[in-house]
Amino acid sequence: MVTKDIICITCPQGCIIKVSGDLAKGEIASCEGFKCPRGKKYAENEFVHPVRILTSSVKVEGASVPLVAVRTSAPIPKEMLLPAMEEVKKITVTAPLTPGDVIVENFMGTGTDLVASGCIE
Amino acid sequence: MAKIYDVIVVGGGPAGLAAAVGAKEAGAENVLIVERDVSLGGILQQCIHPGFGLKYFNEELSGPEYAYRFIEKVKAAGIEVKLNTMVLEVGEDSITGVNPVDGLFTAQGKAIVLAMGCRERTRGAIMTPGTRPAGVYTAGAAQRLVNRQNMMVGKKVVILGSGDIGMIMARRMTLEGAEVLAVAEIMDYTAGLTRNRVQCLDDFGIPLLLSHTIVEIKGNKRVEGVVIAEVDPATKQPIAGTEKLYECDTLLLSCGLIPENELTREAGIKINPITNGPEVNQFMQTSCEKVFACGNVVHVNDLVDNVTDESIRAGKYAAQYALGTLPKAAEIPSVTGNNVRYICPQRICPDAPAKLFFRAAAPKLGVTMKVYADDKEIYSKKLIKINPGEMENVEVTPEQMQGVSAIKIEVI
Repeated sequence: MVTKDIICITCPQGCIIKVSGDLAKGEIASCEGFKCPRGKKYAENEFVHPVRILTSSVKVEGASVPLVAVRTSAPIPKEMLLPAMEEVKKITVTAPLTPGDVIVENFMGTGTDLVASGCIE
Repeated sequence: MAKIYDVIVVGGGPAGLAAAVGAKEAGAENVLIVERDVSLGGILQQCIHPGFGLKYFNEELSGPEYAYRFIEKVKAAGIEVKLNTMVLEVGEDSITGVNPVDGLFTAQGKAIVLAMGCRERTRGAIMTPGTRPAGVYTAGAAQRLVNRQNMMVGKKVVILGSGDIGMIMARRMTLEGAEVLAVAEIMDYTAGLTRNRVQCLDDFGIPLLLSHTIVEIKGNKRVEGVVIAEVDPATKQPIAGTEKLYECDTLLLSCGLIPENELTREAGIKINPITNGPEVNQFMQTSCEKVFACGNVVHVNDLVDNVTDESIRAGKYAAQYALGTLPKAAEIPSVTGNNVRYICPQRICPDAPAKLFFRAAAPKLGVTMKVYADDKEIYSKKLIKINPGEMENVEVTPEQMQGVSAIKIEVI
């Protein structure tokens, strides 16, 4: 049984959430101190396996600007952030793009898509 | 005859966009946004990280996504936009600007909303000693170069100041392949939000040196290193013997933001010495009754969601002023008590409810926030913690303000 104090990063309140459970089995015994359902979900994830949204930018062709912002549509495992940046580096897209347009489906097998987050006309 | 706008908005960032939409929704027919950049959205366009919109849209958006939603609203509402346009002067019922299409022009408006935002404190403003090599950037300038212009600013980085942009750039530079040696902060607490310390510094093992500052920048052509020393928490003076050289090629500064109020000052509008922004009432009306202001030009916000709320209100009241329906009444001041650095609005019209935003002067755990109408306590709330980096707010009602000469907030 392990207990961790997790600072929630979901919103600016930065609640300190106490989670206990069995790390090896990925089981949570208790979760206290959250103020919203988002916080509870974040703390439980963070206890078992931390995830983060990755944001970056990729090269764009056929536009007056060199880059368009991209993001993963949902959080991906934290340890994948740096390897994912290596993949993002290789991508070039073509204008036009609006936020939400899928650039890479099932990005690196994470089950989340890499999507445009900026708008390029 | 030249067109007379109901509301002219100076600035097309998050504040200006929301003010224009707010004005339109409140019945203003002709609304104009004047923006100096090539596109709308302001600083949001370079803030590609997530964390925007949790309050306003109830989902986590990146800066460009947040901007996109408002730009679409502006387009749908038929709001006129002048890009590449620098406003040179704000008059009582007009603005004078210049751009490549119209040349020098004057636009008439029944009400004007100032939404120029803020800019970063530079090396000169914080007087960091040393040589003057290339490689010293404000964090926001580096953010624009890296995120919008595809230019990497350095490989070995030290960041001075733990403001949100500094911490976010620590993460960005790390993700983009640079090494961030340390973030030095002169205060004994983090200037930015706790969540940014966790996800930008702790996640990547970047050291945060509280009560530390840079005492020398080294290098001739390019930055070759910075000397960091511990400071006395009370005097903020460097402690001799604690100096340590960090070899790096880049220094990013995240040492605070200054509301950009040259136009406001020129127009003779009263500026508050603490916020460095115009003094306003709860309608976001400045000392000049035709001129309203919102967003970071008034006081530096930590959340764009708050800027949006405030700016929609500013737009709405500016529209009401233009349409002649905004009430006019004697005002009472809001007064800062113990551990309150500033309150915005500084003036309150007691006939209407008012939401008072305030910042603490120093961080503290286990505090009570108290609101007084003259000497009478009208509200009290226990807070787990208070932090100058995180804005608080409280609402007061017309009933609570009847016959009162001032409203005071204190944190004990």
